[in-house]
Amino acid sequence: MKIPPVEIRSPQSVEQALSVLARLGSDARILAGGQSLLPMLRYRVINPYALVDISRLKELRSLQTEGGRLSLGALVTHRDIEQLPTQEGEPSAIDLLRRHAAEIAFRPIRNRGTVVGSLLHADPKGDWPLMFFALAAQVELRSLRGIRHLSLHELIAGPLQTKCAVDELAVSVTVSGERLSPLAWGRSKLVHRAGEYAMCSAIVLRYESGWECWVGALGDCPFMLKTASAMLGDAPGELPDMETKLREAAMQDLRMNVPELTAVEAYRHAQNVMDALCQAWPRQGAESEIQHG
Amino acid sequence: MVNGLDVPLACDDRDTLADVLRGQGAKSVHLGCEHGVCGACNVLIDGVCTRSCLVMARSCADSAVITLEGLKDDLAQRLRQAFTRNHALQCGYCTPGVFVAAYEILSAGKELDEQTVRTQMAGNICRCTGYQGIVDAILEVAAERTVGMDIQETAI
Amino acid sequence: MTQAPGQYKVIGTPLPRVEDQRHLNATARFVADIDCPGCREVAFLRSPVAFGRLQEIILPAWLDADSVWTAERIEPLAKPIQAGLLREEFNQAPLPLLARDRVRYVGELLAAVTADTRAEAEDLAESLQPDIEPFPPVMDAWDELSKPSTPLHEGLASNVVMRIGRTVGDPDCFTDAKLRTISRRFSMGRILASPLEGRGCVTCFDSKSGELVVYASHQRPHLLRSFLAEQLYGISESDIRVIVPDVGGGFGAKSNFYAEELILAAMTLATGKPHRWTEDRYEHFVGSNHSRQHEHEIKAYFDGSGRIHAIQAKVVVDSGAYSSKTSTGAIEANMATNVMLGPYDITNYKFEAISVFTNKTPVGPFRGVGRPAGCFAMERIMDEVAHELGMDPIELRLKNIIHTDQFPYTTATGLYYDSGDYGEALRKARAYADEHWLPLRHEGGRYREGIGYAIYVEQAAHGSVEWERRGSPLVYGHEAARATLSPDGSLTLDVGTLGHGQGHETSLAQVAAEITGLPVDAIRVRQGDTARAPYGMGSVASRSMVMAGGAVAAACRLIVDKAARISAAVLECEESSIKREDNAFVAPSGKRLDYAEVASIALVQLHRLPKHIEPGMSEEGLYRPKVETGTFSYGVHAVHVRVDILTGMVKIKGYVVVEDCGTVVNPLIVDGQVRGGVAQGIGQALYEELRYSSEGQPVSVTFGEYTVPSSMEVPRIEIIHMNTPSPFSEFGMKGMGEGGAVGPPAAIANAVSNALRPWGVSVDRVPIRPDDLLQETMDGGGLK
Repeated sequence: MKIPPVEIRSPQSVEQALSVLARLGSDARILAGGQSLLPMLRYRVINPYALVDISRLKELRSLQTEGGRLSLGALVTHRDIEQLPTQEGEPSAIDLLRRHAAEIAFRPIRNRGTVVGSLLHADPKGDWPLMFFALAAQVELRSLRGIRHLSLHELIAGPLQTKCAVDELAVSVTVSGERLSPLAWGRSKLVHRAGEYAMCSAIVLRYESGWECWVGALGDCPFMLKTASAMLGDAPGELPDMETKLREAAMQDLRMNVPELTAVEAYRHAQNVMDALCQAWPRQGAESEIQHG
Repeated sequence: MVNGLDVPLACDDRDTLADVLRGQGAKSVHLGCEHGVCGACNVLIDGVCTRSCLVMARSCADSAVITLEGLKDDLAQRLRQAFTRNHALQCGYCTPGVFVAAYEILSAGKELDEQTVRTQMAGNICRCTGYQGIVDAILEVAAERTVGMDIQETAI
Repeated sequence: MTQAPGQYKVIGTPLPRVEDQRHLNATARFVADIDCPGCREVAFLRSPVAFGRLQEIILPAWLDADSVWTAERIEPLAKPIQAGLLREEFNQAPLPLLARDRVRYVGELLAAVTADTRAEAEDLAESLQPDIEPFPPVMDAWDELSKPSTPLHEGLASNVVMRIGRTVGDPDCFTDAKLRTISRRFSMGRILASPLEGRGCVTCFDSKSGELVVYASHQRPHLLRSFLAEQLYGISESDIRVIVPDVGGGFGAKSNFYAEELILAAMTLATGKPHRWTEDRYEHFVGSNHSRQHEHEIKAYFDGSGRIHAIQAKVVVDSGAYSSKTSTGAIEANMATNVMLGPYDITNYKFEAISVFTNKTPVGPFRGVGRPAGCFAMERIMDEVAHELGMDPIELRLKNIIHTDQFPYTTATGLYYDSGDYGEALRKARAYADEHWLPLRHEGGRYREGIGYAIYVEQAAHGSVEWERRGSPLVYGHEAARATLSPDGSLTLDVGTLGHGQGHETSLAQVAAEITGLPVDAIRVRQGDTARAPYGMGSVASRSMVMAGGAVAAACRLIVDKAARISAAVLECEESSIKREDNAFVAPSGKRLDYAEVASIALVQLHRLPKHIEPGMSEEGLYRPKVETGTFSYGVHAVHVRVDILTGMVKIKGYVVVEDCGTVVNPLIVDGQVRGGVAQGIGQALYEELRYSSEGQPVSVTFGEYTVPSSMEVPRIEIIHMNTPSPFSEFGMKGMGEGGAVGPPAAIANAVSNALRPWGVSVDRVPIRPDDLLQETMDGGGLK
């Protein structure tokens, strides 16, 4: 299982990296954290001519939280997010991000693997696509031809496929201020054996504009449970009263998006959404407080 | 830099850090799976516990790498003694990777309880011990209230 | 009869291991670490197809023919492997080294390639194109019996490896209408040992001695040497030296004799060049022995009081494509039926053990071998009987176990149980569970808790009678150790077993220290090198403490006797008047000699040695057990589980093992063996399964898919010790290394069944899958 023959290019700047990409195109793959890339090389799932090593480009390490936005450079690791220093008055979703990052794989993988790299890997069972779909993030792609900003919907084309062109480098992912400040959030990830990809993964967000129940780890890419989310927006009251209807609505949404789901799988995914929802549900007499899991 | 010594990085582009370290004589770096799950290849890169089987050697040209061979400070010695007292190893193949991971966790200097240790050590497979000795060894050393150490400065 | 506290000085102390230092100081050396200048690195081309005709292997034109080895090139150098049992029911077929015209499992060896580095060798292997015409593979052993397909092996009439069966006791039980019956169909998934270090070997010539030297990660050095000599043309055993360095776990997967080691030896013989192969993780999944995969039909015959009158068992094992040497494809089924009755006084037993060829990797031993399956069948059916009768599961067991006054007890299958107190073990387990786990909490209806038990008896250190009975062509039954005292008073023990994590260098030194009075740090235990160790059987079947311990004891006694004789002669007194004080021999006059002085006299102070005493201080001790059906340790596992009804997930909240392995030499090591075994058993119960597609492709070939338990899946494991020494072994020791892995599937399945009884759930399969449990609770009406 050794790495197949491959050349390494070590550009000294982002501009140089873009030049290399422009020349090599689909013969090259970006090497950032390498935690998803190297296993694919070892199992000969891919066999590129060259790796463009961006892992030492300091300008890609930026992590900005000012101006009410969160902007992560291409080399920000899962661990950087897990360990984001607490700041007074930080947006409510920062803690959601910390928790999300802390549950990815294992610590040594988190130490090296990058958020953007993982996102561009676009594994349907991966963690970051779900998060950034839910937070309506934008990804910045750069090439010698210019700069593009894509939403997750525009970026992810299918399992392990993105619309990132062969000469483009994803340099950052950004979440806007409003999306970063939900009134409440819940996160539930069901894993059978530690560090595995999720059996079920759900994020629930509550904004002024309504509730959003997002599901990942199934189908081609994460999606929102439209009926279930709408039902939450309409009806106030106690969760247990709504539970049966919500669960049915969730299972309906799930089946519509992923028709091949078995009854057991649909049930479990719906239950996982309920578990996330419980964390975000307003507690008695604490309606205005930001609630999170 | 490997274990405190400047070493020329003589390797092929395709070589991983694990292969190069082993080629240089750091035989404690073990290959258990070569796809990042078992942790037997853990090393410290610039103080951070990393899978050396999932890092290309060329990416480490400017880095300071420490393997089990280079962990000799007071914390490392106390951890060794705790491993022996608690029967934290049997065949020894996972041990270097377990040790490096444990060292990183302990170096942070935070208080640790059993659940946290088990969570943080889930990235190391041990097929022999059932983990209890490893967990107990780490908890023992943590209880000695180590002050967090600057890992880079302790490279010898 | 329990071990008196303070009965021994060194035996029984939890000494930290001497092995630890080299692993913690990074001076341990495994096969991949052996320095071998000019070594050719080997990679294998393995079959991508489960079953088919190998037409040819197309080599690219640019490839140096010297670097490729196919069946044709190996054939004149070494013979195909023949593994079988000397029983007429056994259907033998050869195991080719490199496939000739048939491939029979994904992963089967097709060709070997050499290069300067492993990476380059893999590149070359990638460039070879095997042209295989695929046939439909045989993938289901149970179905194969009722709907047989084409035999995998020409020359055999079917795909049955072996089919044996017997009725013991009163056959009328099985038709007695007054008895109640319960039948169950049980399944245990295919798993494999997965030691963290794969297999591997380095083969080279020692130009000085002319020996072929083979470094191998292997559990049986001398037997490997004999095997290589037998299989290779033109070399005698005396010209082969096997050296086993540090081994990164084995658990049985490194005990058989595979083709790779033989092929590398042949390559070195033919070229004169050293070769190395290390098994990577993918190769281990497809190329090292698989284990378990049982299908059972079990029927219990009982009366209203809970007395089990008879057991009927049909055991079908998926043996894979070939019989491995020496275990053969029949090992699982034969052993499971042999040990199934466990600790119970059941004399009426009808069994059938059927092993079936399929197009999967061949099976071999993995910690416990057939015992976990035998235990699963028996302990699950006991719980079902208890449930049927509304009886407490422990009470039912107490009603059926062999009582202390029945020892030694011969089971229906001829096992001679030496000693034990099964009732006490059950009571202790129950008392622990009652104290720590009751009352069971069923949180909000969503989480259901349950408790499950399993009791087993572990046959270990069996000798010649047992191997002969099994039909093994190689009949093992002894162990040897050489004790050599040096003039500085230090003692070296050369042993024929092969510790690979079990701490023999420490525990055997403790045995030697106990007998000689030398301090442990003056004793060195050496193993693994056929040039120094006397012919031994390696470490399998939990034999080492009993066998090597016995041999070390014998050798040390010879040393002590000789030292006493020399002392008596030199100190001019009667031998019977010599007193022992630690490591010294004291005469009534008060004059004394220590071991260093005695050794000096015997080796380099010959003028002081009386003529009637032979010079030298090196003695070989042999151990052959008086009772050769083995020692029988036993244990009770109790598990506390919590099941999430709404997701099907199982969490182990508590685990206790009550175990009795007779006299314990090193409690630290014994506890480690229990916990390590339990962790593997938990893997089999909840997390591990080697899955194949219907086309014969192994699906789980990464640690991402084949999930061995981590520190989060294995709980703290409490251990309660009992000591009923074996009356038949040295110091009363019993082998115990495998027991930890025997109990968990049964205990955990019983616990989950207990938790989910309100839904009518009976867990009849491992690994227990969340999907299956969720399906059951959904079908059974959800939250209650």
